[in-house]
Amino acid sequence: MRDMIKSVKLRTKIIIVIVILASIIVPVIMRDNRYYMNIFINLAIYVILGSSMNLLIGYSGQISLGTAGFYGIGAYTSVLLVMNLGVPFPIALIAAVVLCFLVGFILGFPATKLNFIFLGLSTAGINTIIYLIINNSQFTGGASGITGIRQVQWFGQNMTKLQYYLMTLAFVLIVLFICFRLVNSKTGRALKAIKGNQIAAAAMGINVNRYKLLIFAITSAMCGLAGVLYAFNIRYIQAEAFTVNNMSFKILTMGIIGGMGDLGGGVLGSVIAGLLPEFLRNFSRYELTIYGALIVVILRFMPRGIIYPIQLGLDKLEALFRKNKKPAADQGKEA
Amino acid sequence: MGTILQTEKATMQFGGLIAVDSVDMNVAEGSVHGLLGPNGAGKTTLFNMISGIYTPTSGSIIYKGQSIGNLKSHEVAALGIGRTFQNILLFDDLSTKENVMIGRHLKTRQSLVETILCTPKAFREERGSEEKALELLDYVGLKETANQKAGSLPYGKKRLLEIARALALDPSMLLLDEPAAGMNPSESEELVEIIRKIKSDGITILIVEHNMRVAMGISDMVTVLDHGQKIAEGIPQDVQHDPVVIEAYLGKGGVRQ
Ligand SMILES: Nc1ncnc2c1ncn2[C@@H]1O[C@H](COP(=O)(O)OP(=O)(O)OP(=O)(O)O)[C@@H](O)[C@H]1O
Ligand SMILES: [Mg+2]
Repeated sequence: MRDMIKSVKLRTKIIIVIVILASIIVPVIMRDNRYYMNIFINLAIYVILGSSMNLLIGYSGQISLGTAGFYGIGAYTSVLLVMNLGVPFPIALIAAVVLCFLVGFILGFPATKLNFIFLGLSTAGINTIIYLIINNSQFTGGASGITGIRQVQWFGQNMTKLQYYLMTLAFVLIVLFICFRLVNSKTGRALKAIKGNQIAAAAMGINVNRYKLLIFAITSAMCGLAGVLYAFNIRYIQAEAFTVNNMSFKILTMGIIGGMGDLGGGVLGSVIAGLLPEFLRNFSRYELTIYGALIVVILRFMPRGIIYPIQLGLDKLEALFRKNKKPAADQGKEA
Repeated sequence: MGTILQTEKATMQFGGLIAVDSVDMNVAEGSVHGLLGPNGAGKTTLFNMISGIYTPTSGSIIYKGQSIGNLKSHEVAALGIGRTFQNILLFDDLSTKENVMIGRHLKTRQSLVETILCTPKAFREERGSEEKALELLDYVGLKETANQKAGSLPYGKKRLLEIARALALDPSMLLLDEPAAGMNPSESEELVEIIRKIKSDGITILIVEHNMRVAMGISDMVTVLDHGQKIAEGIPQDVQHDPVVIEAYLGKGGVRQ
């Protein structure tokens, strides 16, 4: 554990601490404003979704337009367990995540056979199948969905929005920690190798298909977790929320625009793509167009994502800082 | 010296084209074995059959007494056969150190859970891979490039990096596909030294080399292919003067297609 903390640059540590503190303090101050609290909770959920997409596309070079399907499976599974079987929320959450992990293998299977474009199409197809099942089944409430979802309890009391937000934030941190460990390890290198060149990866002894299935399962589980957190916040779910058009493209955008293959970029992209609709309320009809345009523009002009110019700026700042502080620059050693 | 690798009537057919045609070849353990032949002779195809990229359409490939013709690429690697690629397949966006560390994949045993929980074992292994990678970079003379991206290296150094990465598997056998292609004379001299060093470490080398003179200089034995068929085999001095071989290379007489 100590080695792990040591491996992170000082500057990154400072930024992480500031961002975590801000993401606690700001919502605490605004805790009575339900509108803002919902935005904060949604942004936290988006960070989980965007980070999982970043893991998939940014680190492993795979694509999925089926993420919203797992977002939906997570939501419906947990809600049905709580509402119909009286299962406690934490157990329903775990069950939903495990189910998504397992079903994720199914989504991973096309990845072992198809190239990028066809994988995108086939995962979109899987998403649509999931949507059709949800939308046409009796037990999911059909097209009208499920309303009146029970609130999550905390010591016998209904959770406040702040408590719910903090719980979601805790999950975000867990997910980001897992992502961090994955990408900075043997597993992450295997994924990067697969993204780089599959023939060479296999020649290095990497079981390419196994890792593809694994990464699809992991990212599906993360999307499922996000779905649980979404459902019990909004407390009303409907199949329409989990379609390719309404959600998968949005998740794809989150994973791409911040900076593929950079965890910080994934977080930034999720927040930006998540906030965009708030600023563009009057244009909600064009949401999909805007996301599409955003992806094209970013990939064309900033292939390393929005985070890259920020990193360059910070590099310059750090260099300046170092220069001024030369005599007493002990702490700077690690970078 | 026993045989480490043996092909028996190894054949690879692509539609109507027989790229490798009933090739019998024995590679002695600990030797440097040259695989020669003009363009399109089937050398790379044979490499791909041995390393599991292609499954032979007929015949068999036996490595250390085990039939490996039907194994997948990663399974062949796990048995201790490392390789490089004629068309250089590095992980360009990663550092040279990471490239070699990827070669250590099979040498680390941590489970995913151990990785995520950052157990001491996970860290020990990680540090071990890193040290080994630096050691191998040093072995091929690339230590200074450890933090450079593989894609940014000049051509000759990329070839050396591929060798270091293949050595990271701790292989018993190394397949080198035209490692000197694109190298300047001083680089290829360096390469020859490295190949000698690898041999003295007890690793068997099967090497494809276009350049007859280079290949003859380092090989203990050579096999010559032409149009997928084995046309000659023996020690370099003999093969070099074999009229059939000379004809295959120079097309003298134009008897063959
Ligand atoms: N996947 C494939 N599909 C169809 N034909 C192939 C395939 N791979 C190789 N070939 C053909 O097989 C023949 C042998 O090719 P190969 O690459 O093995 O030759 P080589 O001896 O390595 O030549 P070079 O010295 O040019 O590298 C060629 O005619 C080539 O076009
Ligand atoms: Mg070749």
